[in-house]
Amino acid sequence: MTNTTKKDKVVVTGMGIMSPIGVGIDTFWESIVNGKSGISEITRFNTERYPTKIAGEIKDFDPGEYMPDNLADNLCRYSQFGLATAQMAIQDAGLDLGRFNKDRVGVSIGIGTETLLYYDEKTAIENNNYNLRSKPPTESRNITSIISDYLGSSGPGFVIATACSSGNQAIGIAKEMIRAGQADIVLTGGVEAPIFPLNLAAFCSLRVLSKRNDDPSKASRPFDKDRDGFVMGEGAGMLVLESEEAAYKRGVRVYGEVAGYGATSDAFHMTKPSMDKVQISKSMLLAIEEANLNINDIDYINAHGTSTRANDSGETKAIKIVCGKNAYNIPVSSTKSMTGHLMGAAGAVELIVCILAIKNGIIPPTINLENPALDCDLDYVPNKARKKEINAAISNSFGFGGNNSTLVVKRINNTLTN
Amino acid sequence: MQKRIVVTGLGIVSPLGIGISENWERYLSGVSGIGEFEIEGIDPVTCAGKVSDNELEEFIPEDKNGKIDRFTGFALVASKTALNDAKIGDDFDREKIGVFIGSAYSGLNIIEKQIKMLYTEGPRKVHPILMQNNLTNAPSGEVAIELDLKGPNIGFSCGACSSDYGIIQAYNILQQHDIDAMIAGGTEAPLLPRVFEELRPKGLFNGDNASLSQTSCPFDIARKGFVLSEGAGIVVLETLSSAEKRGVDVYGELIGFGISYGNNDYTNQKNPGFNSKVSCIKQVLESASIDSSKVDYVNASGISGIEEDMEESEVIKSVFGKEAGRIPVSSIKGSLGLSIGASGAIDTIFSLLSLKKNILPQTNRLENIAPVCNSLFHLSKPEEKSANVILSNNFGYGGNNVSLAFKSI
Repeated sequence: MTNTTKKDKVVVTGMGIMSPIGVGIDTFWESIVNGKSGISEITRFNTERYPTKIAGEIKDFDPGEYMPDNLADNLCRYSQFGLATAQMAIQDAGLDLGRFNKDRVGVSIGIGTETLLYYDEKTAIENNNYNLRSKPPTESRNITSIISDYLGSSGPGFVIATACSSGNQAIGIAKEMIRAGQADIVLTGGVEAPIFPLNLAAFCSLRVLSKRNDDPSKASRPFDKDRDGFVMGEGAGMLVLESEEAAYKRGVRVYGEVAGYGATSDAFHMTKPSMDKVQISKSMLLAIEEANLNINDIDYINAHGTSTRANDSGETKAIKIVCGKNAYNIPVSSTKSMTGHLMGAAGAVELIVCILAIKNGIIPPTINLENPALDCDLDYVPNKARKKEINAAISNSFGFGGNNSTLVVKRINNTLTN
Repeated sequence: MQKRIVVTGLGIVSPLGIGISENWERYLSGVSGIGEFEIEGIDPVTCAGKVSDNELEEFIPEDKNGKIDRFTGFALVASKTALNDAKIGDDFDREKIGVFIGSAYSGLNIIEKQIKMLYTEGPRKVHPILMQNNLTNAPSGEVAIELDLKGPNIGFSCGACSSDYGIIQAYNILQQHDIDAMIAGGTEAPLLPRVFEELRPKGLFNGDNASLSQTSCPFDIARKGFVLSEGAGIVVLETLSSAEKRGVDVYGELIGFGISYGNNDYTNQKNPGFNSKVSCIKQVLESASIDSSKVDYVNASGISGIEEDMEESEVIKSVFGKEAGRIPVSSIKGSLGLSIGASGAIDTIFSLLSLKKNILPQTNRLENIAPVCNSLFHLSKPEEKSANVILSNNFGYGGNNVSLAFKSI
């Protein structure tokens, strides 16, 4: 098969973000540096009969700022997030899509399961069980179609669904498409708006959520001995990826290179992680290898760090398998301590965290880490952000279905050429 | 350097049956999988393509019976068949096999039941199995567990092109990662009231007073919309070097693909649906480095849609010009209906079988070619022909288009 010229380096030129600790990159980063929690009591429906009553809600998002009201009315909340962050990312990248061949602009978005989110939101409103809006959404097409329509793009567009690692995998797959010469620009990332009655009930029934209802801001506490589950949050992270060559030609700012993508499967259990951690370790190793780096080159690991017993201990073990003794020298943090678990959006939001950490020379903290669990003995950057020059960082994401995904992002020097 | 990627195994679950030869032989003899069913919540009798429950039960592993959603069951059965067909045994390195499976509606069956539970019995009665069973990546996850496959594992969703994206991205992974084989395709179990409701305005067959033979009838003058069906199609994509090392039979080589989306940006372009499909076919020819005159057969999308079949005919005519009247074209939807996220992979399987068996399948239920579709060379009966290069089109009603090119080897 012939492809257009193989593009080696794939870089990030634009970013957009929406999270419980801030809408927009600047607000978000300020919250991260200050160790702010975005977790609070759920206000949108009655949680009386739920064991968990807290989540990371976005309270300062007005869809009307980003799209006409009639469009916003048709869309699910997650699609509104997707469309809004897509606009932020395009603007941040200084992209004038009118100057591109629209067949060569792709969209790759990670999200848990659109079917569940769509019907959960629709039936909640139809049953008067949701107070944020009164009209049920009507648009059931994939979010990629909605974004493509908005951009006027006509290239490849698809949803990647790997549960809690969707955002991470979507970026990895987008990188491969650019490398293969199948698209010049790909808008990629993850979105999720899971705070609805059925989704909350489903995760409650699995007994994986924190029940620290009386102290929401302390509920998400990855690696802490008193952690009691994850806290779901809503949000979106969106990135513009293009080849380094194209970015230089446009003369735009380059945030960094998506240099490595590793993906494996436990082939063990749908909802329980494998105890041996072999496949998680392998996903990290594959990503580091593809980035042409050694373990010693990694300056920061943004952990999946969900605040569940199984994940945090297991991930710590995997990092030790991968890094050996060096594991104790690499700062590892979980920004889920602040944002909550953004599910399908988590991987994308956390890759953006890595890029901002490189850009600003600051390692985000793991907040609420008061007493590390016995088997969690790495440097988790407890409670306070730390200054450090970062040249390469890792973002881990693992999802139900037993899938593991790791991205490596690298600093690019000479970020401006014109 | 580019690796050559081939198909070494096929697996299919469809209204025509479970298994490759069952589907192929029944199809060629003109059997239809479309029937009238009473589906709970739909009034009163509905035309659809349903997979036989009795047959399915024989194939689902006992410990999974009743514990996975219907669309995952289809994928599990089709994947197992495909892996056996590819003769992949225990000596194959399991870390070098990944699973990419697409689905548009995912676990809507269990979602419906649990929504009912939530609003009648309350949140504490919602079942813990909901989450793992509804996920778009439930099939890829369960297949990996059942068959012990430790490579990359992803669920894709893109309407009627969901399975095509599974196949295309599996191709990319084989090119760029140290992986030898990928289980790729799609699965769908959409025969639920909500789906019928939602798809009616999108061109679903709305059949009053029509005989069964005139429900799904691609390119026919009597066509009245697509007929919904269920099933799964799975292929084993493998690097040629791995297939050669193992000395296994190859169905064909994936030599190119075209992808496009007909966006609704009417302000900037005329006729985006038509143009995006033309672009899709041009891309597939270009990426496969073949001239349109070298195409021996087109397995059309041909969903039996009033507009869609006409448009596809015009698209093929526009790209192939004079050649359009020479290239045999057929659609298998007359017997199989449109299984949304599984349809692209099922079309692909029929395309590969025609390469392998040197028989081009006919379009079933095509009795009177519609004048607007008359510029193509429609096959009304199976044709013996040793084809070298074939295209498999899949144009979704939502604007997503994929065309895959396969070559015999």
